[in-house]
Amino acid sequence: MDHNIKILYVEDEKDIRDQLIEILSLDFENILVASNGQEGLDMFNQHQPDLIISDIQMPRMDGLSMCEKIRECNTDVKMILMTAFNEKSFINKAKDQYVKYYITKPIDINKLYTCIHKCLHDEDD
Amino acid sequence: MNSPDKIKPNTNFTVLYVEDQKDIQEEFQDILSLLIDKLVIASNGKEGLEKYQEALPDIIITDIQMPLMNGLNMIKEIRRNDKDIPIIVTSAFNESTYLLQAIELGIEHYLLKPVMLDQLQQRLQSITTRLMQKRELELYQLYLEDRVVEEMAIREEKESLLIQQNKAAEVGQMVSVIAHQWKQPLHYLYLLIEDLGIEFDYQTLSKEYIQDFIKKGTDRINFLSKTMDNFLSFYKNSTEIKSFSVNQVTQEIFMFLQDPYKTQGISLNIHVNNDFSLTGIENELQQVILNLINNAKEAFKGQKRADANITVTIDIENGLGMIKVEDNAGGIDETILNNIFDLEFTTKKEGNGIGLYLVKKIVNQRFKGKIDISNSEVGAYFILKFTLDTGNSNGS
Repeated sequence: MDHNIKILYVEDEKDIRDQLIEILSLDFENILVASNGQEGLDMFNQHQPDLIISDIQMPRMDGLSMCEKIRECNTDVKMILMTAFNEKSFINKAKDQYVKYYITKPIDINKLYTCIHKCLHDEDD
Repeated sequence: MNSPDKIKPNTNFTVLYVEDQKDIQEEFQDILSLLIDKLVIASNGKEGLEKYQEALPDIIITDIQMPLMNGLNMIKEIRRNDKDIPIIVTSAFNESTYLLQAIELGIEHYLLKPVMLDQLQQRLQSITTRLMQKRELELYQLYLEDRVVEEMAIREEKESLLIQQNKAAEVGQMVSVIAHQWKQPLHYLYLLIEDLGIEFDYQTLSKEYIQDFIKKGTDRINFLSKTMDNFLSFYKNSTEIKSFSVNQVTQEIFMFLQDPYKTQGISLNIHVNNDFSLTGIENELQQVILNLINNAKEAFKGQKRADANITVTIDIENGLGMIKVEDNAGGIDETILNNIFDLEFTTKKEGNGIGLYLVKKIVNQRFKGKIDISNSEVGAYFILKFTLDTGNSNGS
């Protein structure tokens, strides 16, 4: 796995955000953090990350709207959405349109890593 | 009784015939038994009184002059308990004293002896016809009373079903509130535990890490447990009627709802200027406040306002206990303001139109209070007014 990739992680719940950063930072050096969709969008425009990992339900701008806006101007960036069980029907639409990968909460770290790996090597498939 | 046309009154009549003269008695006995169903004979006033109490006749025919007790004294006795029974007096005396006394006793007819058969028959007929109409009327009244009782029972059953439905919907809402509150901490705990394994693999486990792990973990578990406790103290199924503090009931709702509402961007405030107590089922007042708060919350749907708030004020004004529920969601359309408490009236897609109907019903009937709705400058404004319990001494 490419440990030098730039990751943008968007999550509104501080608890979960801090914990996942702690885990991710063991393997990745470049992690950008945002706490809602709007902030995520600004961060994306500023830093052009390689991969976005985002929650869906967030204040100000939700994860889906953020991804939709990013896709409008960038077709290359990889995106992974994290979803709660009851948002699954919601994600189906997103999955086909602009986000290929998603994992369900609670986040299984092994699954997340597998997902990141698949996502980054998608173009080689 | 199912239908009014099935009402058929009893057509049998019992006549008490009092006459001391054997020959007349026998002659009339034969004729009377042809005219009526049951004839009871007595030979003097005293016997007549006994037979009256025994047979409870519908009509009395009596002579006046008789041994032991005369006819007029017998009628006097009977009239003490029975002001209505029709009485025909037969007398050989055309004396005004008798006649006047008899009239005072409310007799129906005064026939001079010898009594003509067709005369008696005519009088009896008019009395039985009237009695029959009276019986029919009584039966009809009874039928109507039955119908009213029946209708009330149906209504009550329907209403108790509504209360149950509302209660079930309320429990559903509460459970979804808990689910919402539990989701994040559970996800967090999951990550926390996963990290333990990862740290072990990276050989970065330290005493500090473990201490931190325990603190973070137990904090979240305490939070989950507190959420559940709040729910349990809030969710009462008791139907005990007692005196309770309005403030306490409201606080329990707030303990439970304040955080979840906050995550939805709605601030829930309570002002207790003067607490007061009410007597009734605590649970039902809770249902009232909860319905009003929920109603306000629904009004914020689709609005993206940063200052959304719902305020409950508890106070005593002019000797009345007051609960006010206000929001700043813009208010209710003035044209529907009058219908808002009607059954099955709803403006919400998923609404069942029960909530506010029940609120009014509970306030009016269970707590003998009043509820009014109006629009303030910023939103809907519900005022509930209650007569204070005699135990309330904390008024100002």
